[in-house]
Amino acid sequence: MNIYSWTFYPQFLFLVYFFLINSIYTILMILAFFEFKKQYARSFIDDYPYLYKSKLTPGISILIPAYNEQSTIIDTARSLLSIRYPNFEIIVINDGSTDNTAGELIREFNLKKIYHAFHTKIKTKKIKNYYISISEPRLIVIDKVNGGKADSLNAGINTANYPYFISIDADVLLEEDAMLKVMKPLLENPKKNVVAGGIVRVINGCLIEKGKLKEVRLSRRPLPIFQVVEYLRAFTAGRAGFQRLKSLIIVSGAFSVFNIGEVRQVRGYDRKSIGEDMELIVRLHKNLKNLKKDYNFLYRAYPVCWTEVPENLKILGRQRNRWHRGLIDTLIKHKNMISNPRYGMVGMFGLPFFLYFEFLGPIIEIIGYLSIIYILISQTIDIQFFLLFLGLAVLWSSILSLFTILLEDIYFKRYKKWYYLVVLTVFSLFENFGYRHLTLIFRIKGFIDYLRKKKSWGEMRRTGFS
Amino acid sequence: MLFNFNAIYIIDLFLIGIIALIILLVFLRRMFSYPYHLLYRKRKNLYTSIINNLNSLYSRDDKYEGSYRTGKKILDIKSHVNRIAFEEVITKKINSAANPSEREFFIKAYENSGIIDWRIRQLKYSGIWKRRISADKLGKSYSDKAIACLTLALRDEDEDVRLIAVRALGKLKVESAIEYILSLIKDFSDIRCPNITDILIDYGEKAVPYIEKILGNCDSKTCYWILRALSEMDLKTPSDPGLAAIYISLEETLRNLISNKDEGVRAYSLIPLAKLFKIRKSAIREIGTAEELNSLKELEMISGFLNDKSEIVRINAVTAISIIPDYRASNYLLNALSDDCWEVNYKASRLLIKLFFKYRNEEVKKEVARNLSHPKNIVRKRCREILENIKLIEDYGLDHNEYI
Repeated sequence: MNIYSWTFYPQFLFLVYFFLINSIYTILMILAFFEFKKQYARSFIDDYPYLYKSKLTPGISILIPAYNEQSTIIDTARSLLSIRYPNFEIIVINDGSTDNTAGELIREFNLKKIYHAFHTKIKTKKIKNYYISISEPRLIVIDKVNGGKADSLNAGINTANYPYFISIDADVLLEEDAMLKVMKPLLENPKKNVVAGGIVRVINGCLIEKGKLKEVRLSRRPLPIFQVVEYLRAFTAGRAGFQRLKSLIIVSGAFSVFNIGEVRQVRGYDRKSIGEDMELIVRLHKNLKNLKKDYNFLYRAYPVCWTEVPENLKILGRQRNRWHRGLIDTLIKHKNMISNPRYGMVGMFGLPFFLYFEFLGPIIEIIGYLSIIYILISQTIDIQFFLLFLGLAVLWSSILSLFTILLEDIYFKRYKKWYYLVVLTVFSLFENFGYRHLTLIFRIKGFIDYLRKKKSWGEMRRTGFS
Repeated sequence: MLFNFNAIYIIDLFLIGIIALIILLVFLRRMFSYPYHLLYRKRKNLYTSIINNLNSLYSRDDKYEGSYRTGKKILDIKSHVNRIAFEEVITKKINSAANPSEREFFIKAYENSGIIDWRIRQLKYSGIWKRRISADKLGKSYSDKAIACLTLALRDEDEDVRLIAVRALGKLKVESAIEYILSLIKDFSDIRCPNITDILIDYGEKAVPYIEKILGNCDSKTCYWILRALSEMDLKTPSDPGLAAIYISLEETLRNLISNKDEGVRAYSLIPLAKLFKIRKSAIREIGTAEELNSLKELEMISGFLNDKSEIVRINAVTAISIIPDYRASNYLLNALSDDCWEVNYKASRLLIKLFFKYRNEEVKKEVARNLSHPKNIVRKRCREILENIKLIEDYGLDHNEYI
């Protein structure tokens, strides 16, 4: 191949892209290592029982948006009512469910209709009724007209009485001290630390008794195991790296604490957004940077929330499709922040990363695969060279996945059995043979759906923990 | 060609090497740490059964002496894994001891195992992390031996070691450390100060004389965190005349602080001041006149802060008003319902419900009902909410303290 050939420049760009993306991921992993090391060391001296007893620990409103969650909502509410935190209220927002979510709650918790004063700063769909529990005074239920997750959360924010709120999906389980752990950084510096996100782990296959996690296990199905590896790499380690670079723009919608005042100031979640949690984070960044405030968004790896992940391709496809549409939507809404030095590392690194590598990544990858096919057919490249290069790509990705397994085993050790460690190692090696390409297809479909202005969430069927 | 064929070949081999290395690391780590963890678990079980047996075998007053003779060999702990396992078991036992003599027994066993001396040595001479962990463990030991060393650790160069030492001394309720702890606040970073405040709260009335001594002439940061502690402390009518005199002097200091420029100082001096008013009034109830018992002057003084420009001052003024033992406080709380700050009107509404149940004053209910046609929307909303909550509590016989 010579530099005068027309295929030289695309290939050159492709190679630059390949090395850039993998180098950044490698740097993020290394940063994650240092971040975990720091958090691990701190975990020995953080005295959570002390924090639990402290009279200075501020109250927190736990928001649970629920749409057709009758199979899980009671367990979730019960498990949250037993969390270790000194001062909290639980606000379940029944978003016009068509099943018996509201009825189940009314029956189980002896709910009574009551008038409740609420903020009107953030517009929401009509609130039909407020309920308060006679048996559990900390439980409030809002029954409202269907308006989507963002609208439900906004209704919760309008109703919340405490200075912090946490949005928790109706299908997750929290570990006993998770709330104290995720609140700790916010308490340490309430003026500066605005948002703190915990870690989301895969619950499929785990042993659960009476709404509590008894033993961490791996699922017997391959798809959830691939997602365990993926969650460890992308969410656990990736976000720790982003936090180190002060460019964290995604915290888990399933488990993150926000300063309610700051969220009310930006008028809550965007009801029209598909990826409302990411959009809110970016908007908060924008507002705080515009106000020239010194602030931090934090990610903590020790507060753990367990969630059920899709067990079949159809649902996984819908989920990834929605995530990708949410990403595109947020990037387009906040395009003026991208590569804008005014927004610091978020504008100069976080958003460009998501634009070039997460949004455009699937498109570039597909073009890459197509051009490989063309090159192979036209025989303009040596097949041995091609295989070696493919090997390089696969090996590099496998190293990143394996490295997160190592980090997991050093700092968290959730998967205690040797068998699980072997399985995770094998799956992290084989993640690049099929699973990665599947998610690529889902993301491409998400991109196409976005262009077709598809706004729906897609049905997410849950099996429930029991 | 963009890349040399051999170069890629070498890179591939290099990456395969890294993969092999990571896999080896993952499994070798487990393999090498496995015997340690196994031993640790076994030792933990062994020590648990030994300690349980020793404690149940020797139930006489001199049980420790007897058990020590019997268990001397076992408690002569030298290896690292044994120390850690024993420490884990014994600290758990100390914290869950059913009675003081049982706790004393466990503390003595801990001291005689030599681990406390080992921790003291670590706290004096080791690196930062070992010092931090040792301070933490010594704090959990409840041993007198640890106190001197922990007091020394208050001068450690590392902030975390200092903080852990403060925490430990607070847990042990060492009174001689209070003065030093108070002097540490100004050097601590803001993120550590809440811990100090919590410790002062734990000390309770014991800390008040020391606080009174420095409150009038300390920097605003120290003043703020001390006031926060005072706001949360459960101050009761003193039985000791000396402490009563200290309360009078503290009240004077707080009266000066409520006009401080710093909003935090202003806000948090209101609550302890109201508590001292309450204490004074309860003392007057025993010996004073009806005129002296009247709290209107105090109510008016604090209600002046409902117009303060700082939200936190207004929030605390509402709380302070509700502390003053006078049914007329409800009038001021009703005024606070029209505050534009959500937290202020929320707090006022909750406290109004509490006041209603405290004095069972139907006038409060009538006054709230009258405000249902208030020109301000938020007042109407809050009044409706208050009435519905009162009704709910009455209808279902709920405990208002728990419900609100």
